[in-house]
Amino acid sequence: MIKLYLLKAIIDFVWIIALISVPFLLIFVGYLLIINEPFDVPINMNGIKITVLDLNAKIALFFVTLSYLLLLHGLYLIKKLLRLFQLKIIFDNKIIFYFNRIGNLFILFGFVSGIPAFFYKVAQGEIKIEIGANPFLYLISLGLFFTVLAEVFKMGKQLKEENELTI
Amino acid sequence: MPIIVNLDVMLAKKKMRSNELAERMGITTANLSILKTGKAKAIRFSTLELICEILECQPGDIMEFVKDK
Repeated sequence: MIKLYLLKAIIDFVWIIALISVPFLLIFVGYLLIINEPFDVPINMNGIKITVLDLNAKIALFFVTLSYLLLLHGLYLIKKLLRLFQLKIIFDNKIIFYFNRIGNLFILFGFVSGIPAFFYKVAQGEIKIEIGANPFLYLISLGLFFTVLAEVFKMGKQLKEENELTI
Repeated sequence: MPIIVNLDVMLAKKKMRSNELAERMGITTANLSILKTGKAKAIRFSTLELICEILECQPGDIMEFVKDK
């Protein structure tokens, strides 16, 4: 179980760091969305470089921030899930619910962060074909993997109940 | 479920209490209660063998198939 404690420690650390950065990020993004003056410092988000702060950039920025908050919620649920694992609660409705929710959040995160970034690139005229490892596909696959895990745990719970009711 | 457990009928016939049967079988009264109330999903052959041995009966005396209507 040492691996579980190690994973929990890493997730807790990332969670705390992310939580500290959220207010600053929200204030900064809020400021960027409100101002109408040109912002000289280039912003890099999800592989897109924003140099001109026009309406398209603001929309993309809004959705990327939203996706970051979704990711944070997912991280929080993973934290809760690991806590239940530590308490040896494994084949439980809560675990199934968390796996499902995390999976859906990752899929949503993939769409919310990927689609605006794609449209922003199109709006900037940066149309190119990329063949290879795509983070969008990775995120969708990860989300689906979590939902599949929820199904597997559901089956596990049924088997556990059956085993408990075998005399 | 179409399988009915008639364990309490057999226990009454043999004038034996559930506690005694559970004790002789080496299982908890809670588990025996699950079996008696028909909540059990499965029964091991070893458990069935023990019940038949202690109550001196056949598996058919304990269980009955009733078709669902």
